Amino acid sequence: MAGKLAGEKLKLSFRGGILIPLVSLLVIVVIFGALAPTRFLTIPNAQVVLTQAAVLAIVGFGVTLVIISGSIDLSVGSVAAVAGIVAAQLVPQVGPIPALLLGVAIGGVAGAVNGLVFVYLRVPSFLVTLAMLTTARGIAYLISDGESFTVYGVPILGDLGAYPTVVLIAAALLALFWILLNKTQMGLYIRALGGSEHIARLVGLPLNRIKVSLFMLSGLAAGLGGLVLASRQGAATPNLGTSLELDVITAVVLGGTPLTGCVGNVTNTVIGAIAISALANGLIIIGLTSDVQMIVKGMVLVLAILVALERSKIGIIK
Amino acid sequence: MIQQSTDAAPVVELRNIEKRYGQVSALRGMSLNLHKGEAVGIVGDNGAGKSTLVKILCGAVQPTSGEIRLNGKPIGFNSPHEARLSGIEIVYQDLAVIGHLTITQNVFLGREETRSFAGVKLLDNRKMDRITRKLIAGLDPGLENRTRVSVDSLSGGQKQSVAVARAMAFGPKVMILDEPTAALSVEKIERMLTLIRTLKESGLAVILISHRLQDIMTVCDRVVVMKSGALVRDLHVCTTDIDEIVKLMVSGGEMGAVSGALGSAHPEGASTRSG
Repeated sequence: MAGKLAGEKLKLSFRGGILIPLVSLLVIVVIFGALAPTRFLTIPNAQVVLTQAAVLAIVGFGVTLVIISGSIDLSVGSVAAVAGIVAAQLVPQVGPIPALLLGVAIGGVAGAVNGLVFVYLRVPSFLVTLAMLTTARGIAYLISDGESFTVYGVPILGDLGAYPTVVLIAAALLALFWILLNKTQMGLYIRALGGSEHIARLVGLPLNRIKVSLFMLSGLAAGLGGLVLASRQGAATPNLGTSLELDVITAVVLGGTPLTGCVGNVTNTVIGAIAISALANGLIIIGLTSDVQMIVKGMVLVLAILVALERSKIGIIK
Repeated sequence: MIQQSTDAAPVVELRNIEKRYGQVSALRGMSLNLHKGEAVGIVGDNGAGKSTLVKILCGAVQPTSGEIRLNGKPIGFNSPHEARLSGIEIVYQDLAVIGHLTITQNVFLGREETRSFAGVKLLDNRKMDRITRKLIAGLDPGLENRTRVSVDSLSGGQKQSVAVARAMAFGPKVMILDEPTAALSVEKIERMLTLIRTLKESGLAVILISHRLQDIMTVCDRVVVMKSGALVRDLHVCTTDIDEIVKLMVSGGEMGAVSGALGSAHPEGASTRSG
């Protein structure tokens, strides 16, 4: 009996558990700490890593929910760009707070469109959101006319991405998403949907509503992420958040939320986001060029998926 | 010969149920009555229409024509969820539990207990755990201490206990068990049969779909033989034996005489056989 219980715990630590992600983070910190102790292991550098991680986490919380439900959202980078540009363009006309809200709302609208197409036109989520990735990027270029809008010095919007504001935003969002996922019916239904859509339907869960809400939440989080990113860059540009979706998905999976759904958590995504940010930061510090960084990140994503994937469920990845 | 329970109004009446899939008739005028505290075994060869009948009863499939009455009132289900809300529960052969969720989460899925906290509806896990522990303790002693582990880590028999607990959790009127003994060890089969008796005694109407005729003869009051989507014979178990049932399943009853067990209690059952 005791042995069996230990076995259960071990299994949990592999899928949706937090042990392996924490160990990965530790390994990354130890390696770069050993390679460049005076530059990697400093408080200012830790702040840089945390700030970077906060951006990934903000967008990643929404994507985590989508992945736990058994789907995927590839559109977050482009949606972030549209939200950032809309907010930056509107500040002079409507004031900072309404502009921020509208920026986030536009993210929610894009997410809702993803969800509606996914549910009612029955297109697999990776295709819907891939289409949105291109569409939203096109819209970003269209509405910006290819120009960038400075947010440096713009009240509120300009300060969102600074340390520690961005970390506090991520922490507040973490609390909200954690309660939603772990303490409400909606969160449980998201897991049930990722566990078995067939059974979730049998027991009468409102699946269509859940799916649309999920993608909308992911869009809202991506919208907020776009504002933070624009603030970090000092300007909202049409290429804002390019390939952000890859970093975010890597953070989610590295955190221990497998693409096969049902298990995982937003707390895991925090660890994954810090780990991937520490990795990127460490690679820069030891002087690797950005092309090598991209190769390393790609390999980390494959590695994380290999560890977290449930092969028996691979047929149902949507 | 007619049991006392058949004197009372039936809990469920199926009248002249037909189900066609295009040109194919899965059910051709099937009728069946179910009474409180009664277990009915449904047998028939593959393709006899057992599973279509069960699917109609549990709301997964809608009949082409015919009437379902629950406690005398005509009723129709658009989904398994609606059937469950009306008190008709089914334990599927594949158990339909979600492996990564806990025992408690599976038992309550779709009908969670919540409490309000600052205007937000949160899951009342403590309450659900308490109810689940009590339910599971009665079904599978020892398992009640593991209500928070994921169902994946349980044995097949334990998973079935979870599925049964889910079906029992909300005071059902009718319980359908689809091949409940198929994946069980001999010892667990005995426990399942005891459970069916307990369910009967507590006043439920039980439908048992099983290939194991000896199980049906042991715990059921009636056995309903189907072939080609229609009723062949509706028999009291005390008036028949396994040999006769097997013959009826194979022949469709053409060679035999109409059973006396049908009697006056189920005239519609006898009349629809020809149609």
